[in-house]
Amino acid sequence: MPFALLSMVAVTATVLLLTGVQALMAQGAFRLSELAERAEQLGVERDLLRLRLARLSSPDRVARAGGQVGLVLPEQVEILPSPTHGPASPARRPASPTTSAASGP
Amino acid sequence: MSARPPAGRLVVLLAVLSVGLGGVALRLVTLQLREAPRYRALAEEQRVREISVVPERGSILDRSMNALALSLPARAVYADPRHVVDSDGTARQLAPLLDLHEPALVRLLRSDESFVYLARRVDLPVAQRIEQLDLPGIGLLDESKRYYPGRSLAAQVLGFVGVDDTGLAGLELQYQDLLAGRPGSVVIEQDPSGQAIPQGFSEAVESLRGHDLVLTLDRDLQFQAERALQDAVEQNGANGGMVIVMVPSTGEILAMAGYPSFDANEFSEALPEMTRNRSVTDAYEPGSVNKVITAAAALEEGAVGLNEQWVVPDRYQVADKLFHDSHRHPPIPMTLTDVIAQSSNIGTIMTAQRLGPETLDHYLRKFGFGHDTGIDFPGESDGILMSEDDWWQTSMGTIPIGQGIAVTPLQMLSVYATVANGGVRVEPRLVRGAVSPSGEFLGTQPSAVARVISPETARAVTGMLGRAVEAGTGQEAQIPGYWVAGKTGTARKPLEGQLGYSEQYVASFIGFAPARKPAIAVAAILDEPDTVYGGVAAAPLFREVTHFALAHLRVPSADPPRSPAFVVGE
Repeated sequence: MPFALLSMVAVTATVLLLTGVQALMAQGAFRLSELAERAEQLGVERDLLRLRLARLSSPDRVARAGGQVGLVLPEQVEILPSPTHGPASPARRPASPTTSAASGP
Repeated sequence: MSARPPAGRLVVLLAVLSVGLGGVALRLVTLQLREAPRYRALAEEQRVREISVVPERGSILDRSMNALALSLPARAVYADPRHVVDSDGTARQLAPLLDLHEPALVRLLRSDESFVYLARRVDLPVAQRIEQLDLPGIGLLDESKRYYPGRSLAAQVLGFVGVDDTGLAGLELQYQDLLAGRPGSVVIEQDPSGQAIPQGFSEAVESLRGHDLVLTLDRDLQFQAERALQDAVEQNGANGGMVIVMVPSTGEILAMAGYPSFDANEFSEALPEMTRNRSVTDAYEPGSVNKVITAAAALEEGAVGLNEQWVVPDRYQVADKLFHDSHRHPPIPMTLTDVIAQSSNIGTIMTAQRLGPETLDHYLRKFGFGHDTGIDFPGESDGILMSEDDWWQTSMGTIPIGQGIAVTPLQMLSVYATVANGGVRVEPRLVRGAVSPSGEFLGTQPSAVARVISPETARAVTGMLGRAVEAGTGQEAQIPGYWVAGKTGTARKPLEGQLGYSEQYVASFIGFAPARKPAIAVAAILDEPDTVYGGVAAAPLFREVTHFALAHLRVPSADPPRSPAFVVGE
């Protein structure tokens, strides 16, 4: 009698254990599937942001946006080397009295 | 007496049962052993799916890694009309999402086919909304969509891809294998509704992303060149034009613009001539800009001295043709510098006579005419340069002044870049390298180089070209604070389909700056401008692009050297 009872308990416990393990595995697989879907979704969002960044930084858009707020390209630009970092520049007439884009002493 | 069980009937029953069970056992054996592979295959066919994974196409980047072309995942929307329940209702729901006409959709949904595409390369957010509608008979397939965020920016250089993400033109075509990547696959078990079975069989072969292509183009300079070109075309009433900016010492192309152009995202709506990169694919008769070769060859061969003066009339007979300068003038003493600065046709022809046809031909080819530049671009033209044996008697009047030959704008710019680079020709290039899927930068081989003229000849020719800008026909190309060297060109266009020339012109200005240590060489070309002359139409365009480029590249200003006294007219 005790042997039969013990056997029934052992079998029942084994069955429950196996069932529990299967359930956990199934749960894990579903969770994995959810995470894969989420990762794909995040990848899509990342790609859309890449495209948005490229469009926003497009020179055409920047020029239009600048034009709308009144920005213009300077008509005359002169780059002057700094005496501390390059050969000294001889004194010269400035290109125009309006614009000199370079920094320098 | 006790009744005995009917033994005979039992035996019969046993036999029947044995036969029955034996049949079942036999069938089991047949199914499990002999026919098992067939049924297993059938079951797998129902459950197991192999799904092709589209590789991500590599991006195309400018020299500063700004994206000029990039691919994003997309979906193709298809229908199995046999399973579409309500074609009108389905079309009504899909039409606004796909931006299609409802009647056209209804026709597709009612067709006799088992598979019809409704839309290709649909953006993912839209595809997800369609998926959520869960419409019977409507499905989605993975694919990729190419985006050109700059729209028409460098469109003729980049090219475009077809609906299956294969390069059809431009660099997209030239570097298709590098950009395409390798498709992968996923083998999974699916239930009848198409959902993956979480614990089912799954095997994946990863797709390999394509390489990113890193160009030599500077996005901002490209944009400015395109904008200046469009303005110049409109202001001069031209049909179109081209601008190229190159670094003479490395051959790197910083900008290559053509107008009219097209939006690469909508290439199917563009005219074919708009999609061509005419700087590389189209040859034209260059006119006076070609005189630089005649002058360089004459100096290099010692046929003419740098300070030698001779009397130049305003007309000159070569075989049965009378050539003349663009303006009437009495016979005047000129140096070679004066000839170039004033763009004298007669002075150039007389110089070429001293060279001879064989030597002139030799230098034309040495400077790169008659063969491709090595830029690796599809459809590149070699130009037209007849073998010297086939030259006409008048060719020694036409070819020295840039008529009777045809070159691409890039070939012509390469000539000036050679002079700017101390007489060394460097193969032009559009590609700096590629970035592998693992992130490793793979640089291209340095451009091939070849000495064409000596450094002394190059310096002398630079002085002539500087004089042309300072006091000659190219004064509109002057840039305050920079010494500019360059040459104007005003070339008559040949008639189409017949001998002779039209009354239409190609105006050009090609040069480099700062002339003492050139940072860039620039070609500005306008097709059939109302203003006609290179010095009037093209030189201001050259000035605007070059000025911007020098500032953009932070090239310091430098004063021009003292130039020799100008002889003609003084």
